Amino acid sequence: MIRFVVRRLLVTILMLFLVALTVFMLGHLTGDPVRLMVPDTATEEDIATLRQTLGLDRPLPIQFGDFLIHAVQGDLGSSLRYRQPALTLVIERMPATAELSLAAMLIALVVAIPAGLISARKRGSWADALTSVISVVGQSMPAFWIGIMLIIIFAVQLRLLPATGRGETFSLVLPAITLGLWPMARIARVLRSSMLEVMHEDYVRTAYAKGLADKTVLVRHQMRNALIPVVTVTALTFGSILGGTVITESVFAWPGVGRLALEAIYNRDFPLMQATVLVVASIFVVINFILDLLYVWLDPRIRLR
Amino acid sequence: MTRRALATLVATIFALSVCAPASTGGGPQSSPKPKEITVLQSADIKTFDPSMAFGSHELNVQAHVFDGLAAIDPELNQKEWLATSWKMLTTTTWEVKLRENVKFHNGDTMTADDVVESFKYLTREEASARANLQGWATVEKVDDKTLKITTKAPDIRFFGELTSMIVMPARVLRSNPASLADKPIGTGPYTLTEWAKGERIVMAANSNYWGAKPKITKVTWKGVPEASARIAALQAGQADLVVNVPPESVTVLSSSANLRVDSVHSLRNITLIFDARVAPFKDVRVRQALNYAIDKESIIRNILGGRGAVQATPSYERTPNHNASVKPYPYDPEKAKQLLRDAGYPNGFEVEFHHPTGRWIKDVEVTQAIAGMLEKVGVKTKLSTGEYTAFFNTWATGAYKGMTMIGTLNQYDADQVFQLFLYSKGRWGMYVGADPKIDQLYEAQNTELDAAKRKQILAEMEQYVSDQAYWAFLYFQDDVFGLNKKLKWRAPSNEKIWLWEADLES
Amino acid sequence: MTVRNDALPARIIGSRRGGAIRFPLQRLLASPAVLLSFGAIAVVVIAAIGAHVLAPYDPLAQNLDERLGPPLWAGGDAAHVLGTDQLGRDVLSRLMYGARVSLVIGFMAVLVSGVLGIGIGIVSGFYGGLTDEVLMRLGDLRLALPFVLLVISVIAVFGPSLTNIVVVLGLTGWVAYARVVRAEVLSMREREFIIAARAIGATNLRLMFRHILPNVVASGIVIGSLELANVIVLEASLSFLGLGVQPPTPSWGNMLGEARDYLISNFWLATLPGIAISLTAISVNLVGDWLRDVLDPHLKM
Repeated sequence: MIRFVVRRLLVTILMLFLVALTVFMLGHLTGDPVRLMVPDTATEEDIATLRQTLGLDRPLPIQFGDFLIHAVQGDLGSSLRYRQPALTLVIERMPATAELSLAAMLIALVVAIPAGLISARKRGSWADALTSVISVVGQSMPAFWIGIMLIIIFAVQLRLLPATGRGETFSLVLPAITLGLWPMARIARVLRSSMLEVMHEDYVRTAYAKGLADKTVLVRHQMRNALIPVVTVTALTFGSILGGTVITESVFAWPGVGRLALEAIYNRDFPLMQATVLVVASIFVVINFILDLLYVWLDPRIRLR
Repeated sequence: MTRRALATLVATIFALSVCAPASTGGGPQSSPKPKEITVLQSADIKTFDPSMAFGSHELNVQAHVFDGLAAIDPELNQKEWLATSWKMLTTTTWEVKLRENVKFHNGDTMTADDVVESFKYLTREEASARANLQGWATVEKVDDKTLKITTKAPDIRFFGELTSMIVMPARVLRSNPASLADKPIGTGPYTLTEWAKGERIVMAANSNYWGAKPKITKVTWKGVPEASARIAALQAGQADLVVNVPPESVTVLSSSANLRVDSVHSLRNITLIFDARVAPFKDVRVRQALNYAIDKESIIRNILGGRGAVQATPSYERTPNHNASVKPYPYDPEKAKQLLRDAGYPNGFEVEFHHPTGRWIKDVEVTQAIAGMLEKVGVKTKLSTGEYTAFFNTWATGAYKGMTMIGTLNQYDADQVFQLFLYSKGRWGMYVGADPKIDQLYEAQNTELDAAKRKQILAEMEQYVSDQAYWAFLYFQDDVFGLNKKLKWRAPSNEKIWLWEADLES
Repeated sequence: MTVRNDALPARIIGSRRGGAIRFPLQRLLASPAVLLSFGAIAVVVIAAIGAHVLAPYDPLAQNLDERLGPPLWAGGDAAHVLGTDQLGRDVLSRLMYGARVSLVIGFMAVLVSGVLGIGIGIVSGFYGGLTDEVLMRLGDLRLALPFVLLVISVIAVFGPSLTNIVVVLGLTGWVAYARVVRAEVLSMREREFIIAARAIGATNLRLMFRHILPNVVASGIVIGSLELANVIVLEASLSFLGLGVQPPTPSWGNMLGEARDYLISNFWLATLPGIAISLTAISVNLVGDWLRDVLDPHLKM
């Protein structure tokens, strides 16, 4: 167990390093960041001087080392547009994204888990068919279109909910539904599959044969084992949620990190772009690590590997 | 899972998703007494620091917190503001008297020291506002209420510079100027009470304001880039004033019981600036050809819903010294093709076309419409865009080839645009490629003190620039605002939203 | 992770109790959803291939006086059955040319990632050891990063062009193929035909190409068909954000993006391209599921 944890931890640190490297490379691949930072009256001399002052004329590996050292201390540079520390800007927007992501995940789980369970238990029923349809449809429809359709129906036509932005009552509803639809579809589908698989396993049949009540078998045996793939899939879909925030926040003008990243990209504000990608990727890696630990706790078989 | 458990679960989600957002605050206003409004602009502001201000939306918000020495109001009248008088002592020195008993939001009293420090801050190397005050050499304190300002040359733009001279507290400038970005301390009619970045800015009326106390007690500003979202918010009662109402929504709003639309001719003109330094735009025939190839009337009629005026010269109809006798280029694609043939491009050519996205009304659509029109005379365009500030800053370095869509805002005098865009030593005049006639005319009128002679020179300049077609003249747009009928406010033609003069009926 | 591959209940996709594979055609005819999906895909493919012949108008032809015309059922005229967009261009024609973009980018990206992924999977499973470890960790890294954010950043850095989009989507989508193929190779390694071929003296390369590859292609196709739907939606998302296919070239994604300004007055402009994307993705997904049943019901995904 300890060996597993230590191994995963080392891998996680390696991932973080590679994330930083990727982000650093991205920032330096587009040509001259210095030109973007100077006022339009700058001369070639000014640019050369600034380049030297910022250390952008040093060899890349040294710049990367510098970048890492600063990053670990929390200094991710200054946004070119906002003229404020990039990390501060990212942290300011985190609550909005966290709120949206958690709400989306909640909606996804609360709908998908009962749906997956019911459709596994009652195969062939209308509930099963409905779940299946929603699964396929939810995984195929582009989130930005769903968001726009929801806006048209609920905000423009019916005037029930706010169209965009955060801060009004019920602002969270449409964006959370939009973001949560894909995970909802995926989790329901995976849960159904794994429940079906588990249902036919020997030990379940044995439990029934022993005369255990339906409910006991379900909860004690089936669910615990069925939960494993659910945790896995939650981990995977969590990734799609983080990625999905970029699009959902864009459609709903939600003031979160995803929208900040997009803005930084449009503005060619590289320090900010680097900071957002670095922070989001790091959080992602860390949460994956935590979910890995959870996975091990649920499935003793893994520990023995 | 039992059915009951399932039902409880379902009930819980609904409860949670309904309760959670309520805790993020901002419910609809219920009490009628305090006068509060919400204003939606098309972009979010980035900073409250006046030295870094860019874009009219940012200036609008900052203008409620900070004051300049003078001001130009929405009707284009010149107003004394923090300065009560200014007097020319010599051709390059001025004496300015300051208003008494003006207090900053932190309690400090405004004196000449604050102006001196503010000038230093606004003209430092990294300040984007630096160029606004480039005509001034020094600002010196004579006494607490008097300043002596020297200019680098005889300055006909002095009033404009007075309006850009924003006064910030010396105490803050000396200790922590960076704090002004999100904790602004000014002398303005409102104070900043809350800034949830990316969400909203909330201001409260300043009870110690030196001028007439604002009637509206609380203003909430938001940046909503999508026009449909702004309209939807207005219709739902979540906003009281929104900018840039698209033509398609005008009828819907006008016919609504509690909303109205206010539209004005704006000073903002949209134009295409050619890179005349190199081929193909070095040839005047090519430039003229493109002017003939664009059907401006159709663009105004169809895309802008009729809300716009065809542009003939760089200056606006009501700007002083505007030459009203210059005619705009008519739509004549045959003539355009002929001119292109004459210039040696019988098969047209390909050119870069740079444009911003979402900065002005329907800018992307207008760009695409123009691209389509130019295609018809054989000119193929390669479109390129970016976020406005980065886009403009790059253009400003002289880097963009081909042609660029620029919106100029011309307020004080017909020569203002020349100074910035056409004079070879002007701020962005490099694209003209140095036309000696323009330079000579410009320098002549710049030092001409006789008003009538100056008007003549400027008239000649306007006709010349039109003939030389350094720009593809397009149109002056109308600014269309959507507002709550209870809001008593008049739309400005210079994009300035002044809310301290507005009132809300109950 | 082993997951049973029934995306749809037996009733819809046709019964599949273990044992012999039923005749594909019989199964196909028994499931209306899959039939409809094939139909939809056929329509899209025909529209894409034949756009220059079938489309009633040039998708780039502007006509400002006729802009924002509603579709036929909403009061429009028969000249433009699906209406016109904000520059007067015919929506139906643009949808047809947009199909071309979606399918071309989709297929090419799937091809790139499929070839790459199958290759990596074979090498990884065949050689095992350090190679396997490194390659699989690479896959983990790719999955450990927020995909959309990375794709957007890369495209923003290198510029949105057809090549760049295909390359980025292709280079990042290989992991699903690699994992499945690797699992299959691992189980194949010890099978008789491999041992026999080795005994005859076949080289590793020959083994991989002649013997292993044909057996894993089927899985590759199945995964490809499912990934195709994802790629189509991803391209649409990129175009929607302005980082994909650039206007005026029509792509379903950028048509939707441009329609955002007209949600109030002409919501059909946003609805129609979205329906196109969704229907195509759903159909491709259903056909992919069907393929999986036909080719390998016990596919471990």
